[in-house]
Amino acid sequence: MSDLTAYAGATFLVVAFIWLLFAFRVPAHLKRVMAVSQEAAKVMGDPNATDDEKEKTAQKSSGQLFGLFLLLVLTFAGALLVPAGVLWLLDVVHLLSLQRVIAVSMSVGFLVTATVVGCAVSFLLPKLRSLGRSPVK
Amino acid sequence: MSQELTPSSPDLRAQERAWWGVSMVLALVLTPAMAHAYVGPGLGMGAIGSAFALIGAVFMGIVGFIWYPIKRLLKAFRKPKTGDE
Repeated sequence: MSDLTAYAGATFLVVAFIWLLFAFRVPAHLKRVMAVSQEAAKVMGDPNATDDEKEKTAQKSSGQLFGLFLLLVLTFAGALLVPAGVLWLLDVVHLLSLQRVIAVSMSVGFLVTATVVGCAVSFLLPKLRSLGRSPVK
Repeated sequence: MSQELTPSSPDLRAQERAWWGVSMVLALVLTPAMAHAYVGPGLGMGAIGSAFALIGAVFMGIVGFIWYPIKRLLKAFRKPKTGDE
C-alpha cells in the first residue's frame, strides 16, 4: 500500500473529524457549558438570593451540565468513530491499510503539518467569509 | 546551636523525599519513550470542555442535592420551638 493512500486516509480522518464536530454543533455546546456555569456562579454568589433559589439553581445546572457532558462525550466519540469506521471499511475491502493510516496520523510530520494548516484555516476562514459578505463598492 | 540530623529526623526525611522526587523526574526526562499521548487542538478543546462540564455537574450536584438539604435540615433542628407546650 502506498504512502500516498495512507496520507490521504489520515487527511480524511482529520478533516472529517473536524467537519463532524462543527456539524454536531460542538462549539455551541461548549459555549452552553460556559453559559450554564456562569449563570450558576452568578446566582450562587448573589447575596440577595435565598437558599431555596440557590438550591434549585444548583440542582438545575447540575442536571444541565451532566447532560452537556454526556452530549459532548457522545459527539466526540461519534465524530471520531464515523471516519474511523469508513477507514476500517476501506481496510476491509483492501483499498488502504488502517494500521498505516494510524501510523501516519501519529507521525510528528503529519501532526505538525495538520496543526499548522488547521490554525491557518481557522484564522483565515472567518476573514474570507467576512470579505465575501461585505458589499462590493 | 545547630540541630543534629538523626536518621529519623523530619528534616532528613524531607531531604530524602526531595532527592527521590528529583531522581524520579530525571529518570523520566532522560529516558524518553513513545507516549502516544498527543492531543490536538480539536480533541483538546473537547476534552477540556467535557471535563469542565463533568466537574461542574459533580460540584453543583453536591451543592444542590447534599449541601443545601443538609443546611435546611440543620436550620429546622436549630429553630427555636414556638407554640403552646
